[in-house]
This record gives sequence, structure tokens and C-alpha cells, in this order.
Amino acid sequence: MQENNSEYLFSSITMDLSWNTDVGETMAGFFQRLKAERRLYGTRCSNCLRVYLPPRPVCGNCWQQMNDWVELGEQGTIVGKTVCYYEILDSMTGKPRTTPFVLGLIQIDGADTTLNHFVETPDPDHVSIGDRVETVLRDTLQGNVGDIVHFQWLGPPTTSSQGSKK
Amino acid sequence: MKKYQQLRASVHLPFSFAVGATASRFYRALRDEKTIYGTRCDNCQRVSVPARSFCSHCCKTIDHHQTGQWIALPEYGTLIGWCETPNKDGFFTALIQLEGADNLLLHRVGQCDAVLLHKGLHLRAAWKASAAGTITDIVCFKPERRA
Amino acid sequence: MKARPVAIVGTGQTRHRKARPDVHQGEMVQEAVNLALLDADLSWDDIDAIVLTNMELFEGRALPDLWCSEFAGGLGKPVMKVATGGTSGTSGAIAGLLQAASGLFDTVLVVGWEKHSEGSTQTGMSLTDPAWDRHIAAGAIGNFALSISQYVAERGVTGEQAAMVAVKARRNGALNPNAHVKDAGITVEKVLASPMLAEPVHLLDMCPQSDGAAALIVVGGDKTRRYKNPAWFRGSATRHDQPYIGDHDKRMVMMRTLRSAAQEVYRKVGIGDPFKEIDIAEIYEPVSYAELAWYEALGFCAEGDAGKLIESGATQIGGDLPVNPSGGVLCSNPVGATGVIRVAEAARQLHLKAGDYQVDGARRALVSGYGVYTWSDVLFFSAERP
Ligand SMILES: [Zn+2]
Ligand SMILES: [Zn+2]
Repeated sequence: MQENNSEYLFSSITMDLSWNTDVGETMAGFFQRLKAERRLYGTRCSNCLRVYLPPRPVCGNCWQQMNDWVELGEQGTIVGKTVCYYEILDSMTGKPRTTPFVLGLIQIDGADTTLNHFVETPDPDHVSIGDRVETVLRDTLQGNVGDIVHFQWLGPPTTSSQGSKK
Repeated sequence: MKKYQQLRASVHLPFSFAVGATASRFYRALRDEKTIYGTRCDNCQRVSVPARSFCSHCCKTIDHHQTGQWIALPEYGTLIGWCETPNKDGFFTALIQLEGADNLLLHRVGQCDAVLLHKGLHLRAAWKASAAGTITDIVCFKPERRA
Repeated sequence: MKARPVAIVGTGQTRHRKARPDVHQGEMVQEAVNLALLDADLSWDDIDAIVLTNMELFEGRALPDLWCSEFAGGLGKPVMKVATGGTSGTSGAIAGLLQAASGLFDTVLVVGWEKHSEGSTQTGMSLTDPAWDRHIAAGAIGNFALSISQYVAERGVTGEQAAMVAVKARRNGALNPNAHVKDAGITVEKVLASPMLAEPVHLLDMCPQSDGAAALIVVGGDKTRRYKNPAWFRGSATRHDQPYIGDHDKRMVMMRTLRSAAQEVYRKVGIGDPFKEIDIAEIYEPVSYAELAWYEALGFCAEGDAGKLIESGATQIGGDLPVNPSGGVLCSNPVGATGVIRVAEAARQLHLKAGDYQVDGARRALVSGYGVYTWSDVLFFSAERP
């Protein structure tokens, strides 16, 4: 028991817990394609035509099986952003991330869903909704989500970096 | 056979559980007085060990500050049941009936030959030299010849 | 089978605090249950069934129903646990209300609790899909801020307007002895001067993490007769949504779960103009900006008018539609209990027992629950028997 400078006692423990997660065939297919082609893929619902990233076997909105794989772009658009000042541990390194860091909701070209991820930029204050970003993958791909390192800020959209309209 | 992808994920989660006022007094007494305390419900008179704040039979609060509700129990009792496979430090997980208590205490029995263990065996607490205010301040319950 | 009328006739809450080291989980549960039984003038023998609500991951103790049932007086009785994130408490209340409405049980106890001081809430909340978004989990605040940035861009609400929500909450909380965070002297300037967590969210825009428990007593049939001001249950709706945060297009702006749950309840109860026809609302606002977004989703104002609504003072005590007169989630947030607290506070208003934050003429009360990113519950109560 710990005394904790109070009238009352505490029992302090740290639990180290591990699980094995079966990713399933669709997610495995995404990681295999990512590793083989250095490309992100989504799945498309044949009913509502929504393209999902991360891919999954069922469109929940239509309760419809999805079998179509769609190749996604290497760039995307920031649709939501924040500059964070609180400390978090980087799950890749286990070390605290330097603050401030930028989080973005990123709509990758060709996808209808968005992805929340880190945006790398020399100037956090100049990142705006609508700006373009590029996916940065790690050099040696391992076939898991850690292969997506972050998104590099490119700046406001220009005609050449405009997302492809579906 | 087809190989499926599986991910190994580990987490480290720190917790600090409050044991509450009644249990705080119980663990401190274990550490400072080397005494096992129980509580008596003033409605059904049941004595519970470890000491607790609530009688679930009567759905009634037990106030450990009231006389007659905070009970020092003897450190001896009898063996009721045990797991025949010893745990890794050689003790046997056991249910012990402390004299004067109405419920069974989950602890361990040991420092003896396993063949000696039988239901009704008289046991006495063996205390750790340096107490920390946890239930393992009692190393185990040890068979003893009845006085 | 047709549901029969049921009402909430008793509520009990602990003093919600940063930490309650003097009690363990079960003892804290018992505190709230005893207060609710006292409030309803009932004893343990009168309870026919119990619903527990708690998010055990936050305390790291498996099977809270095992450890806490007896402290809720559950030995030898039917007990079930409901755990749906932030909506746990409102979902548990709905479960208890429907159990009584089914006619199978006359008197049902609902009790929710959380002891955030015992665990690591942020880590617990980041235990999402290990194949996908656990690597990039940046905590609840970062995720809120992302959705808020979309809401701000779309609707043009200002930091001052959000801060007014935080000010209203903490001033109301100062009137509520159970509230964890209270500050009668808080100002918009003070909120805006508090540390920036994730743009545009300041420390004082966020809810706290609390230790606390709350209980409700639901009765049906003849058991309702002896009560003077029962809070009659008129209807509820529950909605879940897709799993990943990026699945929800303009999550906070649209909040399709809350919109659709509210519309279903308004249809069931026959409400055409929520702002005019509701007397008091207790809604689940985890962050100041969310209250503004929920005003729109609940139809309290037109799309884009939430900033004007908070500025008008209409949602303060004494206004046309007081929202969270108890201080709300911005003042107390023991997650498993928070939804139960919303229901309890709405019921207390109809019981005319809300003390210093009693809303005059409170006869129709709305409750909302919010869980994970997008789950929603909506409940409606009235002083009038259905
Ligand atoms: Zn679809
Ligand atoms: Zn008793």
C-alpha cells in the first residue's frame, strides 16, 4: 500500500498487457498493397459509391459488402486542423513529441473519409484548412499502419496540386 | 494453410486504487500492530474479514469507528480448502477460517510438508519481518499443533 | 405488448470531486444509492432490478458488476451492466426505464460511477484499433480540436462565444454543491487566458475528470401514486455511428446521430419548436464548443445561430431555455456516471428539488448523452403524466 500523504491508502500498480489482433482479410490486403506498391488503397461501396480509408469489407451506411479496391492519390487536402500544445508520447519512438505539433484531418485524393494524422511543417501557424499535404511513407515498408509516418505540408492549393475530382 | 496477418499490441497502464477508509485502517493495523481486524454488522452480527464498510446481507453500512463493529481477530484458524498445486514460491492458495470470523479468508498455506495438509488443520499466521501494509505482510498460514 | 407509464421518483449523487480517496469504488456507489433511496423514501427491499453503468477500462478493474453489485444492494437480484463510453449513463437510464415500462419490474435502480483518479484516462481512451489508428492517437483533446476547427470554419463561432459557454457552466456549478469545478467569478477573459491545449481549445473550455457516482429510482404501475412530482418518462432514442473518427463527414457540424435521435424523440413526444416547448435541457457537452454545436443539432436554434443563442443569455438560468443549470459536464465528469447525472438533474428540476439552480416553471426536460466520437442518446421527461 502507498501512503500518498493522506489519511487513506492506495494500491498502485502498472499493468503491462498484450493482445494479438487479427487484422482480417481486407486490412491485410491494404497492407500488402501498401508494401508492394507504396500506394494507399480504399474500398468502394457499390451502392453509395463512398470510398473508405481505412478500407473495410462492409459499408455500414448501406449494410453492403464491398469488393472494389480503389487506388488513392499520394496527396490530400487538410479539412480540419489543430496545433497541439500538450505533451504526448510518440507511439513510434516512445519519446515525447516536441510541442507544438500539428494534427490534421486529411482527405486523401480519391477517398471520401478522412484520416487524423500528424502534419509536418516549418510553420504551424500557417497551416490552414484547404491546404495540400503529401503522404510520407517510411523508407523500408513493413506492411503496417506505421508505414505512414506523417503528412508533409505543401501549402495552399495550386492548379497543379489540386485533388483529382471523382 | 493460409497465413493471416496478426498484430501484437502492448500497453502499459498505471493505476492507483483507493482502498477507502475502512480498508486503510485494516492495512495500517496489519503493518503497525500485526493484528488482523474484521468488522461486525450490528444488524446480523456477522463478522467479516478483512474489515469492510458494508454488510451485503443486510445492505447496511458498517461504521468501523463504532464500538463493537471493529473486531480484532486472532491470528489463527483452520484450513478449509486449498489448491493442491503449489504456486511458484511453494505456497498453496488456501481458504482459511479465522477463529471468530463468519467468512473465509483467501490466503496461502505453507512452510510445511504438503502431505500434512488436511481439512480442519490448525494454522497460525507467519509474519514478514518488515511489514508494508499489504496482505502479504502475512507470509502465509503455517500448521501449528493445537495448544 | 404496450409500454406502461414510468417515472423517476428519486435521485442521489455523491459530491463529485477530483479524487475520493476515502472510499473505494463500491463504497462510492453505495453513497449515491443510499441518497437515491432516501430521496424516494424507499428501502433496499423495494428494489426489483438494478442497472449499473461504468467504463471499467478507466479503473483497470475487470467486472465492476462483480465488485460493486452488492454495494448497490444487488445480491439475489437481477443486475446488468451497460457500458457505451460517455453514453453509458444515459443508455443505462434508458435500459432501467424500459425495464420498468415493460411491466416486468416495478422499481428499478440505475447507478453509474467512475473513479478517474485511479487510472490513466487518456491512455485508456487511446486503446483504439491497433491495426489502424492507435499509432496516431493523440488523445481526446486533439480529436475534439480537429472537429472544432471544421465547426468554426463552417459556422464562424468565436472563441469568446465558446468561452461564454464555459462561464455559464462554472457559474451554474457554483450553485450546485455536487459540482466538481465551480467558479462564480469566472469571466470570458479568464477562459481565454487559460493555457492553450489544442487550438482553439483552452484548458477552461474542457470538462474535468472526476470521481463520482449517481443513482436514479424508476417506478411504474401503482408505485408511482405516492409521489407528488414524478418525472414522467416520455420517450428516448439511441444512435451509434461508424467506428473511425475520419468516417464522420464534418462530425461536429453535422452530428447526424444527435440530430436524428432528437428528431425521433420530438416526433414521439409531439414537439414542433424545441426552443419554445422545452423548459430545461441537461446535455452532454464535453467541451464548450460542443454545446454550441449541440444547440444546432438539437434544434434549439437555426444552423449557424448557436453563437447568437449563447450571447442572448437564453440558455442561462432565468432565460427561455436554461441549458445545464447544474453546471453540466464542464463542471463534473465521472464518465460512467455523467449520463446518469444528466438524467438525475433533469428529474430534479421536475421534482422541484434543484435548490439554488431550480428553473421556474420547469415541466418539460430534455436530456442528451454523448459517447466516443458520435454516439448519441436523447431522453425526454415531463411533469405531466403521459
Ligand atoms: Zn454504401
Ligand atoms: Zn448484516
